[in-house]
Amino acid sequence: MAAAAPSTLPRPVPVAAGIGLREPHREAFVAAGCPIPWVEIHPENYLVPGGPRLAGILRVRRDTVVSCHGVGLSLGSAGGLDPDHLMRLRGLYDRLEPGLISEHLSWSVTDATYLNDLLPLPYTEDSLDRVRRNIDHAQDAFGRRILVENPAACLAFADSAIPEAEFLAELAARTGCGLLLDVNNLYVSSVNLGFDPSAWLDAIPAEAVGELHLAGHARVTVGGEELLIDDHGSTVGEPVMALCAEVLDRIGPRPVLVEWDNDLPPLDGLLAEAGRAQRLLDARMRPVEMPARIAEVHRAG
Amino acid sequence: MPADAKLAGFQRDFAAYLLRGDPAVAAALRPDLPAGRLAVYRNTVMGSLAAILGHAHPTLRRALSKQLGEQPFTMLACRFAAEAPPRLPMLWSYGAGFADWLADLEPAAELPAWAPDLARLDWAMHEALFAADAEPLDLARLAAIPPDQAGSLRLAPHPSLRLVQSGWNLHALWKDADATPAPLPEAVLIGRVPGDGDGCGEGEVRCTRLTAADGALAAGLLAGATLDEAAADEAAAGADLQSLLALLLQNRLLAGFALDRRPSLTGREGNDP
Repeated sequence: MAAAAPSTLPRPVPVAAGIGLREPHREAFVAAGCPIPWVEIHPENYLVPGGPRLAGILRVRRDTVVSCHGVGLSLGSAGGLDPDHLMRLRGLYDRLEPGLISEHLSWSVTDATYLNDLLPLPYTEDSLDRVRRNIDHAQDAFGRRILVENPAACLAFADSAIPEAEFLAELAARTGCGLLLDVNNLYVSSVNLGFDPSAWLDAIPAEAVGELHLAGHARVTVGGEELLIDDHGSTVGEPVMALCAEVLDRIGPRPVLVEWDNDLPPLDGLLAEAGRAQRLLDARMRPVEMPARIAEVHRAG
Repeated sequence: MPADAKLAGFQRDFAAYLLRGDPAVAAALRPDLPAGRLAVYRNTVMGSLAAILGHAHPTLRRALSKQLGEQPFTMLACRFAAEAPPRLPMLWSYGAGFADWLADLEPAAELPAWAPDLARLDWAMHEALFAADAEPLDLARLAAIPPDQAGSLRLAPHPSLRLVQSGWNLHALWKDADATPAPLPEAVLIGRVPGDGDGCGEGEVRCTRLTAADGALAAGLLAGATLDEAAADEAAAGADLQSLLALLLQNRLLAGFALDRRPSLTGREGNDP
């Protein structure tokens, strides 16, 4: 990859498999020559005054397209967004010029307390309007579109009157935001809450989806019942890969990111997972991007 | 606005459950779902905050678990998290008050007396890693100062420089997992030494043991005293100013100096963004 000038325009995230880059892998990733077209980071980990972590991610950015996936903005907060945090993020985004910026359909902040989780929202007309205003605020502060990710849930609320996919579609329509479709979250929620993921997908506007996520989940027993938890601590399960194939068949190829946060494997293990995602994409991109004859040769190989 | 007030009340109830186990939020759940599922979120929040505190305080966690087992640290961390949950979404900055909170625990907590100071050492190292970058002091500038003015020098520490003074053998406890806590007045100087790479943001955090007298001298210098003022401190009697200066200069832990006026860059502001 050609060395970029010190200040570059945001490079778009390619329609290819990427990995969530975590600190324990950062040095190995650079030493390996940044061996994947794009990575995604949690910006909150790099909102530091200085030191090797910040220098390291700026180094990664020199050779790789970076996407920023926020975990602290709390789009669902009833009290609105923290303007200080918006400005901190804006400052980092001005330096990193990420190819994509994404956040979650969830909340983490109440009464100026940050609860370290992506917490579920009741899906009501009131919360729809609150999240809409918060997304408008974020997009105004960043001066660009963000993607909003569907949550993994094991809870739902009596007040929820709007199906989740319609809630997301409505946010996209009202704010112009895109959607980050987390296939693992969709699968986990569908099992935990007992809904049909295909029906959920029917309500999602394909053109709004800008990125897909894949990750592993765990099966745990809570109070005598089995639940799925999106712990990002293992390889992507086969049912999730199958659902991802269905999503790609419905909406067409998109950038696909593999997340792994707990019990991290060596970098090669994560790259191998990205390879699985890339094969799903390849199988759907060949007819579009390559002459039929070459596609045949590839299939034979 | 009433609409937001209802959502705010729900979120306040949820937070009260996550931090303190207050069950009010269960009334908001879809009736066909077991309320026990709420525990998934409480376990995630409390478990991850305890893990974050443990990550930022590895020496304390190791020393406590050696003496008492793993559980006391986790229980203390969960208590702290419930009483002083994070205010900012940058979790690297979470835990600044842990050492003081430990020091204020009632005696019935039966916390070893060395635990708060060990937490201070861990936190100083943690902060040093993320502190702002600064160009190290140019030695030629220092060498140009006439010897008769040297006593009027005030040092500007690198933003990562920290000092922990203690009545316990902190440095040994940090360096050697087999060391036993012992009462021993000393100080530990912590700083991020720049690397040899291409960025001033590189580097590693190092700890150096100082005698109690050298620690008092360093405390004065870091607080902005001139060399003469710091050396005149009774607690610094017998301190070795030359060795301390050499240590700071060799490790490039000074960012500048001033002659007989308060330094503009003190490095003592902490890392709060």
